[in-house]
Amino acid sequence: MPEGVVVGIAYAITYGLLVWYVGRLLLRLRRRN
Amino acid sequence: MIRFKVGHKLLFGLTLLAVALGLLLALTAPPDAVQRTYARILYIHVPTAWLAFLAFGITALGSIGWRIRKNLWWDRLAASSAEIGVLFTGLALLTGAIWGRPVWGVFFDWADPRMASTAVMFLVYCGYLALRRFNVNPVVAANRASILGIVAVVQVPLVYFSVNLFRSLHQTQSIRPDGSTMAPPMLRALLVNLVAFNLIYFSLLLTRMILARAESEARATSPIAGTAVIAPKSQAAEGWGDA
Repeated sequence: MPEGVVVGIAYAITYGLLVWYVGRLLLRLRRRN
Repeated sequence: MIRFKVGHKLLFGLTLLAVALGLLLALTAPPDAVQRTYARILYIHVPTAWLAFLAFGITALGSIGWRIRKNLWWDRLAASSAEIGVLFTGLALLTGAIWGRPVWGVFFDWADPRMASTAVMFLVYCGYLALRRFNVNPVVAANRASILGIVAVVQVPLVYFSVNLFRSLHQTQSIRPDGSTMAPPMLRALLVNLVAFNLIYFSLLLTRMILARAESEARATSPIAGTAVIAPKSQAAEGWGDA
């Protein structure tokens, strides 16, 4: 696998999971409003 | 209605700016002489691992605060930080595995002390989060979790110094009190990403604590709050004292 793709996967997983967690927090907050 | 204050919004804005700058520096930093492009994973792997340490340190601090003050704010701090710490530990393990496969030939190796101790730390704090859910009474949950929150933090220095104490695939620390072994552009990218990830952590912690407070208030006023369901006492259990 090309090096850039491997690095891209690592970055996509990291920022993807962070965005997922932020989205989950905001959804739960909205449910409380 | 939950509304973020101006200070919170400022923190979120600053976080987004720092993340954008961190990404730019990480992707434009020169490739490593040996590991070439793979070395760019460093700029996310090291900050996520550092944040795991910080988050679990704050969990211990919150746990101690709860034991001294008996104020649920401290417990919310400990619980929120632990949840974020588990996320960052998971990310450190995942990015480490993706980096390790092409440069070391393995996704994960239990024989490596840092990988093994990080995996154990991840599982222990997953256990901490599970322990919090065993009891609906927030005071009981906080009492139990605080003990684990204080004891489990011994793993943080163990993981950090594992590369100095044992033979490891991981290198020893690159940034030491007497200077750094990294090239300046790479060091700059790493430091900016460290700042960005710290800001991400504090933004997440703030939001998670606001949510924890809102959820505990909702629980306190919900119709199933309190001791609506009481387990029946069996006669055998009552006779235990006489046996």
